[in-house]
Amino acid sequence: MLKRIFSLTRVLIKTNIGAAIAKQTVGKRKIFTILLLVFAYGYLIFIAGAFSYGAITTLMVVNQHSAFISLICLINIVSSLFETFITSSNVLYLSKDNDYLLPLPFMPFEIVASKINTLLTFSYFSEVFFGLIPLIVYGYLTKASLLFYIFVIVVLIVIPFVPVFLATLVIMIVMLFVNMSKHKSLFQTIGIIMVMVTTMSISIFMSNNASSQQDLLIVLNKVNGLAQSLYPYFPTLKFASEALINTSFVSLFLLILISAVSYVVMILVSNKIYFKGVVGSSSTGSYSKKKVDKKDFVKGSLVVRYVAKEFKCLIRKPVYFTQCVLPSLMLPAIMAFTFSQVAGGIDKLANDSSQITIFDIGGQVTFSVLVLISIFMSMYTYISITAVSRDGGGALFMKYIPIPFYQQLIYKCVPDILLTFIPNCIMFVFVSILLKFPILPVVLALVIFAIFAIGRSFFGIIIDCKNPKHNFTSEYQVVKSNPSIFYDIAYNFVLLIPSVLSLIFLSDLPLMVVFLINFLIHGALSFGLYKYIENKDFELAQKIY
Amino acid sequence: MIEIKNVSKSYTKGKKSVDSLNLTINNGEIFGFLGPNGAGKTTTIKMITGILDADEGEILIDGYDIDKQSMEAKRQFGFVPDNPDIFLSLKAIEYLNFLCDIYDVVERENKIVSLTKKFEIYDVLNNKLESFSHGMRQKIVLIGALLHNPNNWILDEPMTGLDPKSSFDLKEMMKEHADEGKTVFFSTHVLEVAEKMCDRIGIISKGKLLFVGTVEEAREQFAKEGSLEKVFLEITENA
Ligand SMILES: Nc1ncnc2c1ncn2[C@@H]1O[C@H](COP(=O)(O)OP(=O)(O)O)[C@@H](O)[C@H]1O
Ligand SMILES: [Mg+2]
Repeated sequence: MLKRIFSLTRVLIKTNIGAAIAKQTVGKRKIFTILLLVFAYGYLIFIAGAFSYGAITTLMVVNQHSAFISLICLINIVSSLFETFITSSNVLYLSKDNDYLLPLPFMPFEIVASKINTLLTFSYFSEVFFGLIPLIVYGYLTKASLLFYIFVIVVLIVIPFVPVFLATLVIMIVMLFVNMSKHKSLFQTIGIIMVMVTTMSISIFMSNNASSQQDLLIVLNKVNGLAQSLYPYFPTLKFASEALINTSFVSLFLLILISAVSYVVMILVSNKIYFKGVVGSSSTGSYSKKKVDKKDFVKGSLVVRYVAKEFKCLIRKPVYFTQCVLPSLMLPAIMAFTFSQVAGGIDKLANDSSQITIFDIGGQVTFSVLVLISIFMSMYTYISITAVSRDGGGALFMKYIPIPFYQQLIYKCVPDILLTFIPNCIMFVFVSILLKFPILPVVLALVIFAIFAIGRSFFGIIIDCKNPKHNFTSEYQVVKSNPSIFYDIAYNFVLLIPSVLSLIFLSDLPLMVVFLINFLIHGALSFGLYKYIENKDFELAQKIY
Repeated sequence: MIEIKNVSKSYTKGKKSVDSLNLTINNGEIFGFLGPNGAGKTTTIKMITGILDADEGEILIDGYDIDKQSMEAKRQFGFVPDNPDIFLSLKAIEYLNFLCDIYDVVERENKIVSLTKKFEIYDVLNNKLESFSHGMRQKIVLIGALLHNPNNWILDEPMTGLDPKSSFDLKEMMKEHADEGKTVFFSTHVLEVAEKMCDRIGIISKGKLLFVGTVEEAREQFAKEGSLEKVFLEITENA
């Protein structure tokens, strides 16, 4: 039985995340993808390590470094709680594999256990950054013994049990009462928006408060106080912190005990309520009785209809909406909000920036900085890079209708271009008004950004065509664990270079010259990518069948 | 008319999924494409419709080469893929209207209303395809392939998932279509359908076309007094 649960878990994890890599059997490609992954994860590990190093050394000065442990435990519990909230509705209810799994001769209990193991595994992935790395840095800085590291491993293994249990329990109970087939989209969207708002508030909180070491200390203390006040409600938080701080066997034992009990209870409880919800989720619900009327039959322009179709498919599917559309809206919103809230007040900042303006006579520095930031900001729009794959079986549709393939690719880029450009454009105009930037450099920077957004979206769709994932089993494979996304990020990074260079070397030249140089670089690139799509129409279509 | 000339395709090197296929489907003909699972039916149909490129050979639809004059060729057929799960976020009416825009359909309202009423799906047109059952999605895709009144109707396993009434309607429509002098090319593994409907059948196994002709001819040639099933088994097993 354990063996069956284990192998089923492995299959579920694979279908939910691993398939993207596993599918690429071609040697070179695979190595390249893995290298990209290593690079990206290395980068995250570096950030986690650097942050921990800073925080711990700051705390060590005042001999408060054990607060860091509570902080890390809290972060891991909260992150696994949130992560499970987001992923569990997909893994448990919306994933396509349910249709195949339920009829198979697995005991209900085995399916539940495997699904929950899958969720636990997801938590372990993020624990590497939120838990393992910081604690290793901690151990290194405090010259901890080997026993500490063993404790770390054990604690990290058991700590997600309770939060995963709580989050799945909530989701399962909600699913019992919600008419899944009717409201599942809404439900998922609300959940993810909630998480995003929380993350946003945290990031604003951090950016407001953590500007100096002194402030960092205050923040850490606040968080630590929060952690302490949560002890009664989250006994595992208390025991985990104590186990690590004092390397206390008693605390560790209690932690393991609570987690083990909660795991067993979790399986037993979910065994009771999971299947009621999941059976309802795949059946079809009631239909809207609204009749079609005359205006549903109006002839429209093909371009408009095609782009509208792209938008509808993007917005109506919660996974796509939350993973592709929301980030591109949220980030500029966070930016604008942060700016309007900066410590010291807008007036001071505007004053500072007007001094910059005096120094930056032609506006070329303002221009370059804005271009730089805008390119950086657009890193999280993954609409083009998934445009073909997202359609799933519908991707073949592109190939048998009488519209040239390249033309459809260009249509498919429109949502990406608009959603990259417009929110950032609004944000920049807002900030520029706040900070009283001169108009010309802002407008010119937006022109460059528009050209960049167009090129980036062409680049994305080329990559997607060369590496399509339209034969997915779960939409998550397209938007979350799609290695192509790294190419997109790499594109942003590479194109940061001209702006950085122009900031360093060209700030003595007149604004118009700097603009023209940027215009030529970005213009040539975007135009070249357009020509590539137009001319390689046939090659780009090859892998979609 | 669909002309397939010496067409081959392999997904992996050395293993031909379709091997030197020659086939002509004439106007006014219902042609049934039979074969066991994995025989190469879908692969062939994907090549006819331009989804896959043939490694060798050429395919003409009403005289237009699917490779070299693909836009003209693609206007000449309506296609029903084996998997109707496409654009599930769209409402049925939005999908059909979109197709009308693509193919410049005139009198779209009449066509959509009459076809959807015929398939008894008119009342739910304002719902997303996501909420439809497999059979209902199949019907929408079928209707979508007929809106522009194509000369060639290409269907991959069209009966799968249809209820008896719709399946009957579909067969009637295929007959009407052929009676108007147009071509119907469909793949199936349901032999009775093929026996009743088809003017000619082709039997494919392991990528090779083993037989082309009427059902009668197949009987004469293989199992003198057997069901089509017996004939089918004999042909495909001896390959
Ligand atoms: N995408 C693919 N990649 C590799 N091989 C494939 C692919 N699709 C089909 N094949 C192979 O081609 C052969 C014919 O498949 P197919 O045309 O789908 O058969 P049918 O539709 O007659 O059941 C099978 O052997 C199948 O394994
Ligand atoms: Mg098939």
